[in-house]
Amino acid sequence: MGLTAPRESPLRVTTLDLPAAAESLAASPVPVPGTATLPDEVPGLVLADGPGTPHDGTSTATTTTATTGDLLDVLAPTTGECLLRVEDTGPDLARDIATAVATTSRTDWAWLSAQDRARFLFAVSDVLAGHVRALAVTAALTTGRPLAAGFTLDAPAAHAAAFSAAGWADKLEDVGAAHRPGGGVVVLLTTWRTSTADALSAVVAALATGCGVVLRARPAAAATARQFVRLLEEAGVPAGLVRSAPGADAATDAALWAHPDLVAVRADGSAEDLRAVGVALAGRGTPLLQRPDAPHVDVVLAGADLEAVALALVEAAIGGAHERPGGSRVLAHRSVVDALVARVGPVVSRLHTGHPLDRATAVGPVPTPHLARAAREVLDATAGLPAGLPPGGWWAPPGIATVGRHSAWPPPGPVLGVRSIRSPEDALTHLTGAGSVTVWGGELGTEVPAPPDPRRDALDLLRACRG
Amino acid sequence: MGERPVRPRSPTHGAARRGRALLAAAAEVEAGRQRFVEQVRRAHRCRISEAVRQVDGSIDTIVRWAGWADKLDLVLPAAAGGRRPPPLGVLAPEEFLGAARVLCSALAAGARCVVAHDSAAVGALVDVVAAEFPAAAVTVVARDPGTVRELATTVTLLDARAAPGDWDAGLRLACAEAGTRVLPPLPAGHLVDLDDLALVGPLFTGAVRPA
Repeated sequence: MGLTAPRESPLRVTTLDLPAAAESLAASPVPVPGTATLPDEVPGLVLADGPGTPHDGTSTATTTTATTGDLLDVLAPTTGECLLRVEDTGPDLARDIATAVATTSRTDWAWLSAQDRARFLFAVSDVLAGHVRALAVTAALTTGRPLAAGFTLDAPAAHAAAFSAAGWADKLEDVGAAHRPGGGVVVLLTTWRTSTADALSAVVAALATGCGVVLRARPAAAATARQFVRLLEEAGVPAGLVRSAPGADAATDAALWAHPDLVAVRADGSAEDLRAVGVALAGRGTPLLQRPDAPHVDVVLAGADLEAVALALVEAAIGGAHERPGGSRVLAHRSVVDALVARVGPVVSRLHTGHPLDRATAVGPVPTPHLARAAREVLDATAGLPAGLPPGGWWAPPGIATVGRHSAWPPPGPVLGVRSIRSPEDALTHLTGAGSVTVWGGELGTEVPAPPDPRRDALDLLRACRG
Repeated sequence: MGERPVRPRSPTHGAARRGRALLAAAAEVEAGRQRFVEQVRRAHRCRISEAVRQVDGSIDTIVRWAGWADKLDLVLPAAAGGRRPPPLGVLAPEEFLGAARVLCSALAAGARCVVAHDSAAVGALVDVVAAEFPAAAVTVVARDPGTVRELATTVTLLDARAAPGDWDAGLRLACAEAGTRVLPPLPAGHLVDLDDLALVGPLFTGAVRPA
């Protein structure tokens, strides 16, 4: 009869809501900024998750162990000095990893019923609460994302995104997607830009179709990718279904793009990098779901609620390149531009810039040195920065810069560029290349791209995996 | 403006919260699976194998609707922009699994529901689900003609798709007098055959945006 037989995976819902971010942050022992040793969450060495390797993809050692590739230095945004090292996965190992993931997907995962896959995947969001601190600390040290943002913004967003993507597993046919009974591999190319929500959403969506995942993490994202592998295994997903192949070797990328079990690739990065990936995948017709670095543009028309706009712009400065890796641009009608700058400028310039592990920090260092250099060319490097910050760090003072009609926009980061426009029609001429647009106080009379939505990205990935 | 703004919650926060509440309800039903099977056997006088099918199916159904809660706006234009169904009365199907499906679809969509039923097993299910939602989200009333007629005057939309074709003329009159819109009975078997979006879509008739 089976009346008392256990289900495939018992449902568990222990975190209906994540603990309140402020309380979690206050209760969590936070590593002291400036301490020489890495906190426990961040390993000194991140290795590839090769099949059959005795390690778990991590090592606290600082010397070379059983690696197959070169070791790459990951520099700390706060100091510009080496923070940890990452194995540059070689092509042969990457092929072995992809083959192992495909095999695991076929033997241990893809044959599960849709309902059972959903059960496993809902557990991903459920176990996330136990990883919030580790993910936040790792992002703070490797990308400069302030710890407070990790708790208050990134964790809830990841919780929602993972839960949302899990819910697709038992309704693929309803949305034009399909289960892949033979499994397969989705490669997720992660960089410093990849938010926890985006990454988890993509991983869970790929798993929902029956595929496994190779996390092709660029060095700055490698430690976070290792956290994802641990999180997924803790959720009950079969060991080896999600593996990390960190590194930046072009030959390894090519080996992955040519792998026979490759189903789809999800990537973010510069338009140039993504174009190269797209060209490499075009021959076999492998779908590429991409999010290029394209600026977000706020168009502020004469009727806009300036208080609401100002709040959003201050948040944009705080989020910086982490939330808008293509930068933040503001097109404000000439009747409101001065008032807007007067409201936003003083608040942004007073934002506390400091070490990302400091709970009071609103703006940490930018994720790359070239962004810091570019930002300093726009604003005075010394303005807005407190004394005592390590001189080698990738610091950029938050601020607002007025940009002429033919001048260059500030780089992605905590500096907002504001340009005056004469009319809504005038705004259209400045929207070329915009990744997303928010219009305040009216309409432009044309469709504009919406801000990224992990839910829609997950849906697109599901459909791409159909083949 | 102040020193540091507080970022508003995501527009899908409420929907995601409803989804997690439904998942928690599914876990509760699964934890009490044996008790539910016994209640379905007694209330619906069916074989144990049928009762097991109904209860296991209802768990999968609740999980399925838990997953729909934050996605309806992506696939249903009527649900875009955070729209939610108006206050809803539900004449629950007699079958346990069908009742679970109708109730959970309404809750996933964000409706405030008044459920009329006359099955102890369905009542136990509604109690478990309601416990995961705020107090006003789910109300239960008996499915006797007088109570249901009274119900019709307190809601904006009455889902009578599971009612028999010759349903209470007095109730129809009460709805007409109260201006309550009605989703009329479907031919036998048609409700079961509706796919998820066809089931939930009509609930957004007269949908409202959150204030």
